[in-house]
Amino acid sequence: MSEAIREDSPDAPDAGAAPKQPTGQRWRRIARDGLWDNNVVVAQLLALCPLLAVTSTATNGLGLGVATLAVMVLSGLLVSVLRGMITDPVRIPVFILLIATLVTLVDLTMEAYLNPLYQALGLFIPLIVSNCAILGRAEVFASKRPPGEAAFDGLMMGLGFTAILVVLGGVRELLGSGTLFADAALMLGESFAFLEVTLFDNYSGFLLMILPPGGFIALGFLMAGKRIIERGRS
Amino acid sequence: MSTPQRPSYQQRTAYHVTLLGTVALVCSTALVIADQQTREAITAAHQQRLAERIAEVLPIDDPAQAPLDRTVTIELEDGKSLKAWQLINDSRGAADAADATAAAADAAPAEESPTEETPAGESASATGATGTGTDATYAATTGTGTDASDADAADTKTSARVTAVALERIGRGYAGDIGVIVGIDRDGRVIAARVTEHRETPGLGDDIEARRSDWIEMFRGRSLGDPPSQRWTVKRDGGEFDQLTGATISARAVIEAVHEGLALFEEHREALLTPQPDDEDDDEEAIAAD
Repeated sequence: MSEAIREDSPDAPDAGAAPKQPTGQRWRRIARDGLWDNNVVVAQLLALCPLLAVTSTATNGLGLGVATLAVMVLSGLLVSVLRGMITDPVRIPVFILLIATLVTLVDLTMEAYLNPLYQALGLFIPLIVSNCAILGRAEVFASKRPPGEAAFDGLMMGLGFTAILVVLGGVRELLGSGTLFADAALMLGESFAFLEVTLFDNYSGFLLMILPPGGFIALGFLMAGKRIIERGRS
Repeated sequence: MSTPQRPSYQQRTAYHVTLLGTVALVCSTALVIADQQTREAITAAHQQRLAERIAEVLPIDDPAQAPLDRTVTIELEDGKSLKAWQLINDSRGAADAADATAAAADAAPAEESPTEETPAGESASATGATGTGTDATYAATTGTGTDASDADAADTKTSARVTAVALERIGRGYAGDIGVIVGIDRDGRVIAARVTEHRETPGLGDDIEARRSDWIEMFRGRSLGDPPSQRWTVKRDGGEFDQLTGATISARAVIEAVHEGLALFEEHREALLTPQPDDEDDDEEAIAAD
């Protein structure tokens, strides 16, 4: 019965915008959802495990964010293309298979061609498989929408996720060790050297911010900030 | 109960099974292809990292000259094995040994097989079998020839002298294992130490890396008796070495790993300083060392 309900109500509130809206508005709605209204971290509170583990520096946050974004776009696209073939009883294993394959591909590619970045993020790349946000988007959005919209949704959700990772990493890095984007050149190539900033010389460091509790505290402030901005608007 | 848009064939169990099986098959195929495509680059990246580290702890300038193929493996009592890389200086350059060294050096860049992961004997035979180059095959035969057929094994020893070895030890850090590679000269002094891999807290524990701080340089010139064994630890524990603020555990682990490396060098000095003509002889040497 639940399947029937699911099929009959593709426009449920969690499915994002209703398909009947004009095209431009629909796409803007997807962008808004991913970046702000329905942001993976500060609205859906998903993917906190890699988030808190990785964001001790902004560079690490950016690296994991981009890797997750790539997987989100590709999985959205794949699931959407195959949505006519994927039947309900086997949809979850099929989604998981597709996502796991994509993550492994990203993992292998990074290890082969972006080895320094891989050394820093290696442990967390396989965790993208278990990033519930990706499966969530496949189930809620990509399996019901055309490929273009699904890929765009993956892009926006991924960007929203990356933005939070970088902001959180930046705040923790700034308070914890007094730098911003340290080692960006080392990981992303010399062309990113301009990102590296040392704000305080001889900063003694604030250990708590680098350790996981600091991540929770900073995340709490970020979420509170989002609420305050939203309240100010309404 | 039927779902609206689905054609009837999609509601059979056989369809679900076929779908899942097909997806699994396609995914596996994609992964196999990706694995084959990236394997070479991944191995090369690993080898390069290893070579860079070895070049940092041994007195050589160019990572390309790192003696990756000059390895000794010694079985330890606790079932683990000690792997070491030898830096060899041919002082007299006796014809056979010199040829072998030169050929081995030539073959090194061409050799893509993961020497540090497979047992050394296997990798050497693989090189011979696939025939990476005539040089490699030649080196293998010359090497065995020198050691096995000549009754006078001392000939190799005098012509090629091990000037330094690099050992890898694993320390237990704050967030997992810390790989430490230590370069030790003939007299048992540390040339340099470097961390190969770790998962310590960025901004604190990663000061053990040479690119983040010069903390690890303080091992230079130290040996097993300098400082005495009980002082081989951080100052907080009554030792000789600086700790890292907020990362005492990481510092302790590295110091212990270096100390262990020196102790093992002392214990297996004979075997470690015996020049290895070629990878092929590793296993025999390991047994002999026991």
